[in-house]
Amino acid sequence: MKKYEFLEHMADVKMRVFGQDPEDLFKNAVEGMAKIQKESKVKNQKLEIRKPIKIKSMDTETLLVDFLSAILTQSDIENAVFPKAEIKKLSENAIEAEILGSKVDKFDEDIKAVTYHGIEVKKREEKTFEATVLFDV
Amino acid sequence: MNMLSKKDFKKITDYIWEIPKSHRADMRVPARFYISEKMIEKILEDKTVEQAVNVAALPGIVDYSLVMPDAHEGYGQCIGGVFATRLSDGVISPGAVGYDINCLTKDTKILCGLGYYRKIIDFQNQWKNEKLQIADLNSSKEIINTYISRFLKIKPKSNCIFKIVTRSGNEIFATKDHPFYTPTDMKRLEELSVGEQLSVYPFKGVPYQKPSRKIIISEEDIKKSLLKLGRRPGEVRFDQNIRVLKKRNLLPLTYDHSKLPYLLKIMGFMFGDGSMNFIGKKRDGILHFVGKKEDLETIRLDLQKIGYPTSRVYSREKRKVYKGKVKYYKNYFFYVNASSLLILLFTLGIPKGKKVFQKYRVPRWIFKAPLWQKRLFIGAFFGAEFRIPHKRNTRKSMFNCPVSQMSKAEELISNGKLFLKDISKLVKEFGVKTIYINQRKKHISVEGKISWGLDLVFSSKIKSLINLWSKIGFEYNKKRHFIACAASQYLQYKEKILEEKNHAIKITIPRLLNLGLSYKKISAQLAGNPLTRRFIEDICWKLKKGIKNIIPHVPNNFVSFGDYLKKATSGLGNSGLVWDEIVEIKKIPYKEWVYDFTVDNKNHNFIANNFIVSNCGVRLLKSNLEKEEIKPYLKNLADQIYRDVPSGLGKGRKEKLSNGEIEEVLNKGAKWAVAKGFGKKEDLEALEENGCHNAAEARFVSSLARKRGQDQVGTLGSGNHFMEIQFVDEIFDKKTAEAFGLFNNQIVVLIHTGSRGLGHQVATDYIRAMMPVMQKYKIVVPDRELACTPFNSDEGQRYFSAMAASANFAWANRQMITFWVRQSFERILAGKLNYDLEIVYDVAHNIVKIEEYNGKKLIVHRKGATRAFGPGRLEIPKKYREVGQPVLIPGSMGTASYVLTGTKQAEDETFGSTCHGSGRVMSRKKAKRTFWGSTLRAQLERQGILVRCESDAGLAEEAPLAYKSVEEVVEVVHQAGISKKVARLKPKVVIKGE
Repeated sequence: MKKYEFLEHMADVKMRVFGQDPEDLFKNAVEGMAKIQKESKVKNQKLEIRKPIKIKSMDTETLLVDFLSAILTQSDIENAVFPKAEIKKLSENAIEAEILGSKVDKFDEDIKAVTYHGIEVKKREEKTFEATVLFDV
Repeated sequence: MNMLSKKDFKKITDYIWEIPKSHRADMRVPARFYISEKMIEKILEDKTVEQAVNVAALPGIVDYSLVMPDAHEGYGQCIGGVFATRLSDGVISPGAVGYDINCLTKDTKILCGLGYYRKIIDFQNQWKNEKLQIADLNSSKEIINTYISRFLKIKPKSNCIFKIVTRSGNEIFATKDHPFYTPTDMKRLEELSVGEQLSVYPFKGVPYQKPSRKIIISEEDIKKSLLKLGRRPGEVRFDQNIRVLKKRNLLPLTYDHSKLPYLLKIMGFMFGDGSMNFIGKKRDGILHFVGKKEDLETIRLDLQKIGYPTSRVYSREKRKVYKGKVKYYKNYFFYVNASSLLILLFTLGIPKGKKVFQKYRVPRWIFKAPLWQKRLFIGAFFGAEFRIPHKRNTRKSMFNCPVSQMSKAEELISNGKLFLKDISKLVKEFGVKTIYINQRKKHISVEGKISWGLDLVFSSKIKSLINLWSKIGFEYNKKRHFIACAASQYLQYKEKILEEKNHAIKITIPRLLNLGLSYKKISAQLAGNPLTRRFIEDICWKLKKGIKNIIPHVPNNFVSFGDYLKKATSGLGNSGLVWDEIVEIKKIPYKEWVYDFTVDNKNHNFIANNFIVSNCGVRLLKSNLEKEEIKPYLKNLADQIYRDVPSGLGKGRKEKLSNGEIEEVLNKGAKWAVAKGFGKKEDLEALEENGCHNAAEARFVSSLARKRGQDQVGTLGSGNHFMEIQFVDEIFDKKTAEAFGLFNNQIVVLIHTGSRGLGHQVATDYIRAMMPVMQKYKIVVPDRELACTPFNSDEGQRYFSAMAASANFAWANRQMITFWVRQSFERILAGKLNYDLEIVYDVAHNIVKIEEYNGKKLIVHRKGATRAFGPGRLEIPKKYREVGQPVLIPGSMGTASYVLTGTKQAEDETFGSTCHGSGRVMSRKKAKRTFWGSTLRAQLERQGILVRCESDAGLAEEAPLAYKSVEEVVEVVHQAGISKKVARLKPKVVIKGE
């Protein structure tokens, strides 16, 4: 199954993510965002930086945006991309995870923010999950 | 959303098109687009129009949701959008003034418009028609009445609340985020500490009680009065009066009649400084009111509420001889010409004709009214017939006995005394004591009629005075009300000290003496404010001696009322608000509901959070050089700047700012940079706001945001941010260009960048914080990214301060880049050319500011738009004030940029705003697919433009063809008149992040 795809959007990058379950969906979203930031790092197995992230939000949609936002913040502070997430707890509106990443000299794309614009998380008929996220670049 | 089409646009002028308010039900104002007709199709391609319509639905928006010609779809609001919302004032809660009554416990007393209070919980089901007293803290510094617009209850998140106790004994229970008005600004409870001042409103009023349905007067009673006045049924003057009263819905008059409160106030005043009689041949009823001008205006408003128009307030000069000296003073009055009102008041018990010669009592029916209605009557009577709180000259912490006066004809003295006894009986219900009636000074009129002055003398006991001034107070007399508020607070403060002393005398000291402790030990143990060692030892001695009835006094150096008044009301005007000091803040576990409401005042001000994402802006530097002079050095200069000005992604500055430094950057903006040596003082004069948004408060910027900013100050960033060395290609307006210091072929430097990661983090933080609280404010927005809260809510204020701080970061950023550019020029050109780089101007593209238009302060939001003030505005540098503010419009990379000037018309039409750039028309992705970075680079270089940018992809994304033509955009704003073309700039060197 496709993990994610990128859609056309005027000044931004729009990503559609898929997953078998919510956990899978969140993991794929993390990878997708890393791909926008630095494509070559996604397959990198040497992920030397680990950061814990714990977030509570209003609902699953805002949780996904807030989670990606928190990763982006770390990415900007550390000059690193984080393509992998180890999820410890995930509920409807809370997540506890550890993100793994590595330093970069420069990003392919400098994501300014993860936006709530048109955010959507839905369950598809074949019991898979799908979400759409818009990045401000 | 319906599909929009060109047909939905109404043409206003060739360059202004409008989507009318009727387009969508939730629009509060129309949306106006500054575009040419042929741009309409283009603007319909993305969600720009829908987003502008969404903005038009925001609460508090004024005039228009505006869209500039360079607009394109954003998140929430479109980029290139401008709007303004009203600025607010606040509400008052008992004991404390806040911008919003923000989560109080259920028993909190809320003061209502008619001088009674109700527990906040009692508002639950019936708040719609209730008016509250609120403090207008912004302009008039007055207490005004307003309706409630929403009520809600919530559970405190932290399961605890706080109790605040003030020096004069006020107590309030509130959640930690409840805002309070302090001498410096609004503060949340959790930010307050013991010793700080906060404002309180000492007027307490009386509890609300639901009035009965009982009839006070009916049609029959009016008929009886008319007969008494010699009018007969069938006569016009008989029937007409009844018809008029019925038409005005005044009959029957019951205790729960909505107009009764105003009638009671008018009656109270009539017993004092009003009179009424029938005059002239036709025996027309006329009512006459005398008093201070501002108070008379309030009375007029109340009469209008009852249904009677009045004359305007007239003034008359009066001559008075006092102690042999002639004095002139102005006398104000107005009258009401209405027989029916006279008859109504007569039936209610007001005497007609000269009161001195009339027999009358306080109407019996008033004794049966609820306490709050009685208060309205006596308060208005005292407003007319009472001495202002008056301190004793000998003992400055005491007040003279208050006195209520009346004159009465000699033969009616006993009736006069009965009337005063009635008053005495009424005030007793408020805990106010009177002591005796004094008969003084005979007055003999010209006609030889003798009258006497009667004084009802009130007790000067502290408790009685506090009740008099804080429970009854004064209606229709602002000055007395103001003094009474301060005086009751002063006495409360005094009383607290006396109580503490009394407690020591009666209980603590005797107990310690019984234990056999020495005087010294007792005094050492008890000493502390307000008990001095000397006082304690003195009491010990007196008690040992067997002296009883020791009466405590306040110390000699106790603040006099005069001094207290000055200090306690400083900055609060004559509102009656006073400052009080916090003596205790205590955390209390609490799991019940807390309550909250907002008032329907100018308070509907919203700040939309999504607006400011990058605080980007643009700065133009001018040199002394011409294009040809610099040509041989251009390549070296380009390389040097590319090295000196870190533009690469992730290549932050080597040195990080310390926590202290970043705090300074956020609070002071470019001022910090200049103080640190990154520029000269004169630089600041050429920056919008002098490079420092004064609302900035670093403490509201999260530590994550600071971390992102630490190594990014002084960097260009990526995306559409870039800088160019350009030359002046064409001048359109010679005079203005000269004022800006621009000439043909001149070399200039344009810097376009913002607040980098820090600004994004601030936006992310606050959108997160605002989304869940929108429910609390009952705000529904059509798009989550339009998350907003009332401007004067806690969240709104914090965001405003944080946004201002990130704007400061952006100004400091551009100042430091300017420094590196100057360094680069120096390194390459020193000793060869005199380049002299000066700032022309620096203006923000994304900002929220409070600005004044036609005397009204508004919160102006510019998202991807530039301020464009016309000539004369004080906000623009002196040297440009005659021609207007420079407006800098960067084109897309490699194309032309423009210098425009702001206009008066922009101030009138677009909250002093204009476009900010060229506006994207192609997605980044499509641009990357369509253009080859390397081809683009070659193309640009063929045109003689040097490009310094590592990544071809980054270059392709910003390809000129992915944008609207800047010419077209500038032409529209020029033609529409919201700014005027001054000069066109063309690039020689392009420097870009990735």
